[in-house]
Amino acid sequence: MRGGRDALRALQVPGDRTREQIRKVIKLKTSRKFLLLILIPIFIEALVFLIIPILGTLGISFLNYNPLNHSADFVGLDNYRELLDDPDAVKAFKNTIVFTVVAVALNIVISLAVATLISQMKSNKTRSFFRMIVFLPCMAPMVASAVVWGRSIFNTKIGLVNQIIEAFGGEGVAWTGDPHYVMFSVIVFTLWADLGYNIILYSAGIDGIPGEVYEAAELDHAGGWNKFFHITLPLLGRTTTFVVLMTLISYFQMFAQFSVLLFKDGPQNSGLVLTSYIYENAFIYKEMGYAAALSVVLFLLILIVSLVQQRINKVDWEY
Amino acid sequence: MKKKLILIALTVVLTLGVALVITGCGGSDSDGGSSDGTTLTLWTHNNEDTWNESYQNIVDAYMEENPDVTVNIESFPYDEFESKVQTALMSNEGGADIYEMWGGWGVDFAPAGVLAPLPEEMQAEVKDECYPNTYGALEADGVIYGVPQEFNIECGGLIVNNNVMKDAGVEVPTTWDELKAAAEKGTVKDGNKIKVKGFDFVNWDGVMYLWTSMILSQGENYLNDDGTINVTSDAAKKAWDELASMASGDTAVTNLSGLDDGSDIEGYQELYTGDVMMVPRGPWCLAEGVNDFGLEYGKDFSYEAMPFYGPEKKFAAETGWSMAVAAGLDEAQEAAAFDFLEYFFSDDVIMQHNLACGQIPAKEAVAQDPEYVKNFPYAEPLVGILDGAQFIGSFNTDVFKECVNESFSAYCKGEAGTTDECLAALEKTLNKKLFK
Repeated sequence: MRGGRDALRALQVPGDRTREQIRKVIKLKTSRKFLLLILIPIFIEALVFLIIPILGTLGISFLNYNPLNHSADFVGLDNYRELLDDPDAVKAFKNTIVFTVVAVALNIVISLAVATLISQMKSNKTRSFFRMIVFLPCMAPMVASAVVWGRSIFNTKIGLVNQIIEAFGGEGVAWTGDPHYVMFSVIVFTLWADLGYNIILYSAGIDGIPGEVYEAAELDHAGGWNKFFHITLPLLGRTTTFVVLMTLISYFQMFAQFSVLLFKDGPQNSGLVLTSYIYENAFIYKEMGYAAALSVVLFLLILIVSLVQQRINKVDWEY
Repeated sequence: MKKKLILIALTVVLTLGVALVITGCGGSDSDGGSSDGTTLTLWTHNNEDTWNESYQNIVDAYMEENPDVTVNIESFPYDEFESKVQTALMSNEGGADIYEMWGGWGVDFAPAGVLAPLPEEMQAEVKDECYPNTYGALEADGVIYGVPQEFNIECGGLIVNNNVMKDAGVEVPTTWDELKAAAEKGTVKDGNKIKVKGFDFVNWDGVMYLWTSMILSQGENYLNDDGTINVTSDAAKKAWDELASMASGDTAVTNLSGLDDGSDIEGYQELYTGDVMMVPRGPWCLAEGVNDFGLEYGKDFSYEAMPFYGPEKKFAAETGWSMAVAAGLDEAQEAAAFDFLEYFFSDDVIMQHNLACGQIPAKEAVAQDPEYVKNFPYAEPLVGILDGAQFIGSFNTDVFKECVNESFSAYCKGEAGTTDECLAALEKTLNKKLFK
């Protein structure tokens, strides 16, 4: 009690201004402590489910580890060297890049175009209706959608696409069986299933652009294309950065449609991607060390692409 | 001050909550022991009702004879069964005491020490009484780690659509030449497109099984003495070309759609719809013709003996469904588990199970028992050739099939060079992939 009085007296001695500063420092320290305390659960979660698994994967990639017999011999960089000599790994790497680049590019272009078209509609209700329609496929689980597409749409014998082609006198194609069409089929399905998210994000971005900017452009007699390329597109920079980054990361990790839509990665491994190959090595061949090395490569690939993409699309303005 | 304390308390509670949720994931099952006796857990996959019913009947009968033992059956969908068994065996907790297990998994599990070796008397019993392929995958370093339930056979039986055969004006073939001639007659083409396939062996299992059987029936082997692959023999090349001529070109009696049309409709299902005349497949396909396609066995379709390519009635076969006990159980638990397996493996019980599940028996005495064939006439074309089976080999058979199918498809399309080049490349790939 006495100590408390002394402290108070000490606070009062230097005058009001200093006392105010000390109070601010104490308040800041208290709020920092509080922040740290409430962040503890999320730190634990990140540590347990992110940091430790990532470090664990890195560690396992240097081992010849079979989880069944618990043997784990240290093999140094052998798993990484094997990657370079493994034609399936090279194929999986190429397929992943092709799928991601093509699907992300198409996704961005189409979703921006659709979002722009929807935003042109005058009525709020019409806009909402079309946004709901394009978002519907996103609400269905990817696995279920892939089963339906595989059995009813891409099926060679009874599939909708081939029936339409044959009705017009053409010859049906093995959409998920012919190596020339496998990646095309997966990309078409992925776009159908996934476009809705980005259309909604772009729509929100377009709605956020102030109307005055367009009004000013109209005063200068700017046409529709000019407004799109000189106002909409640049002012959607932040949205585009976010959308491209998230889509890239997500498409590098795509797994469900490849494993459901294709039978055993498609003929001649034409649909083999890194995620499928990691799964096969880890859980079918029990080559956990090799699977971990593949995972590290995929992690680095995503990290590098994300950093480069962020640097390219850096936006340092606001409205 | 009071407000601060409440906030700190809330934070602590939240942290503890998260920690509890995280640590709660690792909860373990009880050891299964009870003061009244022993409790065993048996994991099986969900199959047709008949399989689950048969397991339950066996367990009930066993518990009646052994009132101090309780056996609980837990069943899982097939798609997730392998990963569940694997995860349980890897973590050595939260799993079962006895596992129903697909033989192919044994190649990984048996040498890994996650399964308990059978008691010596049981090992001797399995070796003496079962066909070698039925326990081949369950054996590691001469020790057997499971009891085979069935003889998994995909080659040796021929499903025939009697109506298509009648329309083609051919009889059930008894030699390879007759089979080829019948297949050609039964094939209906519209230009280059095959409308009705005379003999459809092109599917995920079919090419590999037929080809290896053709090699073996010529008196050669696709396995070297050390277990590695040899598919560059003259017999292998001859058989390869024969199969390719039946799946491509003017002499084609089938096409490659079973491998590359991306569809999950198999040749035997097309046979039931009248689009295929003959399909070499295991007896497990037959019930579907009656139950799902509404056909009458004997009238609409039948199951016949498949003619062999060469003079010897030989073929390769995998290890099929089996039963194994987990390693690391306590003594009483392990003894009870093996006692149940011994009961399950007794002639009468396993025969009832084989009949209920439509399986070809792993035990020679059961397979050759006239009572068995009387109750399961589908098996008639097969029981006489079971002696000719060779264990397929201690490797991942899915990888084996995948490589053979890829090469066959490419070869038929003219994308894999000559026979010599194609098979030399295939042999190299197989030995690299199967024996890393």
